[in-house]
Amino acid sequence: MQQYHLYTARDFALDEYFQEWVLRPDVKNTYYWDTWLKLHPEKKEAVNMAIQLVRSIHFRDYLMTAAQKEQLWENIWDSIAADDIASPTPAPVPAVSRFSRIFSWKYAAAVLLFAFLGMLWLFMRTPPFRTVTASVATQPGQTKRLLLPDSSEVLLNAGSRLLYTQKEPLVREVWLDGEAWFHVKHKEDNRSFIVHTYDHLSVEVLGTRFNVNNFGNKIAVVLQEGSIKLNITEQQGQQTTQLYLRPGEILRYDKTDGEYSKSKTDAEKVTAWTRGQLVMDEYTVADAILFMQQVFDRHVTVKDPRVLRYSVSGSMPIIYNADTMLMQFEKAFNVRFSKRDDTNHVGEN
Amino acid sequence: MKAVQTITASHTVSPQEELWNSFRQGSRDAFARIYQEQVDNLYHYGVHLCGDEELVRDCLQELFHDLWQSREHLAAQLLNIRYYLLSSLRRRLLRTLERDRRFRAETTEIPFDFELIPSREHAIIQDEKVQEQVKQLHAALNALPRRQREAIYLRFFHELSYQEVADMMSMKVDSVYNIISKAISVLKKTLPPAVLLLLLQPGK
Repeated sequence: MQQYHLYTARDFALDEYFQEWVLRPDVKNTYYWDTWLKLHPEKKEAVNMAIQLVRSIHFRDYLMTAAQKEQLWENIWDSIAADDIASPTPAPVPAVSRFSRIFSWKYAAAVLLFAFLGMLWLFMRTPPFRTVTASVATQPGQTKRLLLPDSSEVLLNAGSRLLYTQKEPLVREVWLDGEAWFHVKHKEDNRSFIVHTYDHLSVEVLGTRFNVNNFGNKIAVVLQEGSIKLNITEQQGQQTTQLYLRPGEILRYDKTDGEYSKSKTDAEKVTAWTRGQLVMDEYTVADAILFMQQVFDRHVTVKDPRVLRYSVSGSMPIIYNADTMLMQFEKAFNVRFSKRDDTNHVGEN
Repeated sequence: MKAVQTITASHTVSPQEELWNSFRQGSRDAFARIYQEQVDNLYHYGVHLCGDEELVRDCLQELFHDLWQSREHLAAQLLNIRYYLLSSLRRRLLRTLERDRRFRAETTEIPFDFELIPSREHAIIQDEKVQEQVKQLHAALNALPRRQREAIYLRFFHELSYQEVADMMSMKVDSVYNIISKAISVLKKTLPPAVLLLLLQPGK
């Protein structure tokens, strides 16, 4: 509770809640201050003075005429209309769903037949194709740079696993658990590269650079350059939604409820780990604890839960040694971490 | 995880959120309402910031154009539409000013010019001595550095929270608090309480 009974006129005038009441009185704050004043009649003078101080702040008015506002509104729509003529928006998502409605299973069967014949033809004219499978995993506190058989580049973050297969000549597929940054080489025959997440979401690309984080209950896909297509299957039913990401966009997917959202982000920041940097933007102690868990499988905690909200901004090198990293965090936040004994919490919910 | 979900489920949608969501889904009515509700405030801020009414109108056209075109990619949860648009306008104006600095003559207007006497109270000020004091007060406030005046302006005219003002101007909340504190001191020092009471009758 605020110690309003000790406040001077100046203190009141500076108080955010008090200012709210003066600038924008509503039922709630009026009730609060009226009641408070009844309990503290000796403060009436200070409060009146404070009201006048807050009210005395005025600024010169600049107004548009109604005609100017109307004109501006028209200009806005004119420029939007000019845009639409110049480049009709592709609207890929509705197009796809309409497509799937019009083309019933008969068409699908026909397409499949064609595909089958096509494959047959491919197998006839090319030497028999050999299935390639490879699996790589990283230990906690370790990253690995991989060169895939198709000469794509992958940087696998700590505590992650990547499975690569090429069962068919035109499809390259990987299964990712954990986090990885991809630089996929574009092939002349436009063969696609698919990242599966062991969940309802997969990423399909031709050639591009992007990052997939698939730790815990969330998946985040960030595109650095090129373009990628995301296939999301509804959790109930088989319907697939296709989304496209543009450079600098991030898609967040929640495995628990299948919800997803797309927004802008700083791709350089998200992929800073590939350059051995941790970029911290309002980075909280809770984020650091999660980092220690994901990268080093080290479970730490702080005594006072309020400390979890402390945040810093800046960047630090990622050192792949749990103790050193923990010490760096302790210095940055000026806190002490202690070991968390997870076995104690197993029974709880 | 469980707790968080329950909160989201029971969270009631405010009218502002509803307006924002229907705008994001492509409602032209919602877009028009956002324009009508916000354009005066944005214009007011823009002119205070740069003093060039035409430039502000150009920037506003661009701002609302981009807002409509990128509606599908905008954040779903927006706490404060006004804050979002103000900071977007601020970035655009500063960028344009930076680019055109060479070609633009210095404006004569004072940015974030304080105006101390609402017109309805003009009648009260007949006393010459009082008028003199009001002038002094005006001068004292306008002598504050430009950034400080902007912070005071954003808090008291646009009613942004201390935190929002700090975020928008890349300052610490403490600094915003100190700036407001300084302004209050100026107000208190320059005018004796009696004059203040006389001048600044509660509006209603």
